[in-house]
Amino acid sequence: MLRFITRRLITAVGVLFAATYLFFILAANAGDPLADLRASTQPNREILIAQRTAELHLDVNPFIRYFYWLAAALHGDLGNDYKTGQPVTTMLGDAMGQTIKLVGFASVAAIVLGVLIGIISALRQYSGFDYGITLMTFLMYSLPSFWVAVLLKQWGAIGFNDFLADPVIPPLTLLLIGIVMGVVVGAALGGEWKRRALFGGIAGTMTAAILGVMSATGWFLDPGLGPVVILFLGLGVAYVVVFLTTGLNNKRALYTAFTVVALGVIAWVPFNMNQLSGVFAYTGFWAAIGLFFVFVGAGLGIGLLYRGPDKWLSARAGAIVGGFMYAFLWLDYLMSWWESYSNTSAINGRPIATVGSSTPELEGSGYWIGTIDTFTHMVLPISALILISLAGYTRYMRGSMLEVMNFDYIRTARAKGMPERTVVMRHGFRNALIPIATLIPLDLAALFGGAIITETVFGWNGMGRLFVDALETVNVNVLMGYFLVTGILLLIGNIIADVLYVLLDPRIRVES
Amino acid sequence: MTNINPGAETAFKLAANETQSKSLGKIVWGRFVRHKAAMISAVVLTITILVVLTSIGVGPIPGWWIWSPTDIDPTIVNNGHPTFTWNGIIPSFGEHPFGQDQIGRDVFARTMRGGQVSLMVMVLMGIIATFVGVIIGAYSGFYRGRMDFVLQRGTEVVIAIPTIVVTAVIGHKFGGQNPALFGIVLGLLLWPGLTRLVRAEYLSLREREFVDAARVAGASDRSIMFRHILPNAMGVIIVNATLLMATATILEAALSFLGFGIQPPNVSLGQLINEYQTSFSTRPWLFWWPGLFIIIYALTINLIGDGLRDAFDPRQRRIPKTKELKQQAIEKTETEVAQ
Repeated sequence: MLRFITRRLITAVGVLFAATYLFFILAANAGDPLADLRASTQPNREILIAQRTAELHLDVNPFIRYFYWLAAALHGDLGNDYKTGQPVTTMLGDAMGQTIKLVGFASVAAIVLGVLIGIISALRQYSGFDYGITLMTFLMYSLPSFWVAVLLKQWGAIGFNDFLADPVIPPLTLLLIGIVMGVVVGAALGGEWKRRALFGGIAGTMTAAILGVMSATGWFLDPGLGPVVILFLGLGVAYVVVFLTTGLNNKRALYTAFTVVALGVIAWVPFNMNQLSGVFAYTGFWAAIGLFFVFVGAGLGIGLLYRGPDKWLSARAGAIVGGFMYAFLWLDYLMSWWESYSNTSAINGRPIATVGSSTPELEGSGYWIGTIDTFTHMVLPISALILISLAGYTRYMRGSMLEVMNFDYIRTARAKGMPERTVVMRHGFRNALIPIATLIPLDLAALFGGAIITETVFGWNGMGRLFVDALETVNVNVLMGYFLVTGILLLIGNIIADVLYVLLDPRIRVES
Repeated sequence: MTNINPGAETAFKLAANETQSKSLGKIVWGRFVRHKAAMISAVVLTITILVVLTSIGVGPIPGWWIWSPTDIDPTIVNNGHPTFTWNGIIPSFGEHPFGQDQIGRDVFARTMRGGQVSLMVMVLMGIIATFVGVIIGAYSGFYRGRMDFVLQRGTEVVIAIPTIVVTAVIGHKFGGQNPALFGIVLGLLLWPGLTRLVRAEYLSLREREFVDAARVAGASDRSIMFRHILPNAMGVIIVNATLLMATATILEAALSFLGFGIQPPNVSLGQLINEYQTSFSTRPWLFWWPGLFIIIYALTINLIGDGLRDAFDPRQRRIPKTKELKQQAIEKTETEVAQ
């Protein structure tokens, strides 16, 4: 294994050298970096041209100029942006932070959603739900991202902001949403026609009723969850988590989950009740992350306290529920700031932003307002990104799950009387994840390259935008910096994917 | 006769129909025709291509549409709004069915030109990428060892280079006016995915008995690779070449949208969207049509590719649904009763 990895690493260095050389020559020929100076009418034009030529070694042939760059890069100097004089390394750092925030969030959401939809679609193969999802994924595959992005910007943002000016959902829309929801839930469920109609009807009515109440009470202007909603959400999560991880027959796990929910609701009093003097009021970015782990740890501990032969199963359920409870509390507190955020003069009741990554006027107004601000700026680009990348994961997961569920060991598991939950979750799901797991390192590596189109349309200063802007001005230093980062990550991602494949699937051996 | 479960009998007949001795081509075609989504897509795509090609004509051949993409109609009809309407169920086209842009050019004619350019890029790209991908994949998989190592590292270099940089160079050096050049360049960049699949096919097929037989019969390496193995790898190649063309449509549009593809005064679907995106709030229809055509191309080709994949899949045995079995059983008893 070690030999395999070292061999791959050594060849990766060779590939990187060849690729950067080729890229440098292409980049150097992508345009004229002196174009703006040649067109200028300044009296010292000639001097400026000579200066920039000397700075960028433009008098040297690109085939040799590469080695100037390489020599500096090996000493950790990636050069400067010739326009602003900023060092490329700091530019890359800033852009990468922005990109990770945007594309990272979108990728995680797309993977989770895609895996979920793919599995349901595979388990209900050839049902109406499956055909619907298949058609949807093909449509999403075929959507040009820039087109979707511009449409979202023009209709999504402006439409939602107009809606927030007078947030009342008309009864007809409520009815329609309810029917759509009911049909989707009914189609996704299995079993008898009657059972599906019943649960679909319940889901549809509930959705319409909740939206109706939200609309009538002006919830959209001053949102919040409150302890009662948190309790119900927590119970629902506890039920689903225990059902999926251990089965409802495991009483200790079930009690663990319920205890965690109860403690979470009690925690609402010191954390959320008082907006200005509760625990959350003194919480910043790192404290918020730290508190998450405190909640997960508490759930883990409660699971262990219930003891029993499989206490780690209870602990796992407790930890997951703890994480969710924290998320609900956090969200509830975040929402309590929504009204004051929406009413600031910089926002003025139109919260969904179409351009940029933050509102400059609101900088330094604390963790909570800052988070809301980031969210309102991220909603549109993230929706665009999810819409585009969701299709791939759904198709892939569906295919993988279908293949696994047809294996003999699944039949064996069923034949020896395993409950369907165990068959699907433990024998099917885990093995179906292997191909996805080997896909993720490559996608994560590609993530750092940024989403060129989405970032351009939404004015998000990430890696993709940096690259396109640099390409327009033929900023070879910036281009090379970008390519170095993405190229290295891509090669490493490739190696990790291969290694992961071998580690996860014992049937595969490396030949070295 | 009637007391035997009629469903089982029909199932048996259907299965027998599948296992009858037929050539591979016939089996695949039969399955493809049964794939509803793929067949509908094939029809829609054919009609779209016919309309795109004949409406404004190709090169010197004139088309049936009155306006050309560059004609300027000084009278702006209906404020530039699309004149296409439905009178009941009868469509009425009017003078400018897709509307007019700011200076009075006919959007239908411009969209058709964009559709032609995108089609040309897509087809050229598909042919070249398939050709290069198959050749490199075949040599890599057939000879293995050092040849494979070198070719695969070369493939990695091509994967690493962002397409947009190359098209930017093309745009700078040659002006971004020539869709043929653009298609060829895209073809020379997008073959790596196909190569990997072809290589994997060759790696497994070269161990099969028919290869040994051909070698014993005195066939040369090249003859084995392209006469004996290639037909067996055709399924993978056709399917993935199709899917690649769908990707290429969107990629071409995206590059043109960013300004690194086809550039004005020439038009492509992506370039049209780029040109018209600033006037979205006043003339949104300028923006719909090119997007719609990109979706038609990409969606139909993707669905055709999916249909082909199902058709070529050897594990695919169509098991009749219970509903169909019941239906056939009913029909059967009905005809028996009638007799």
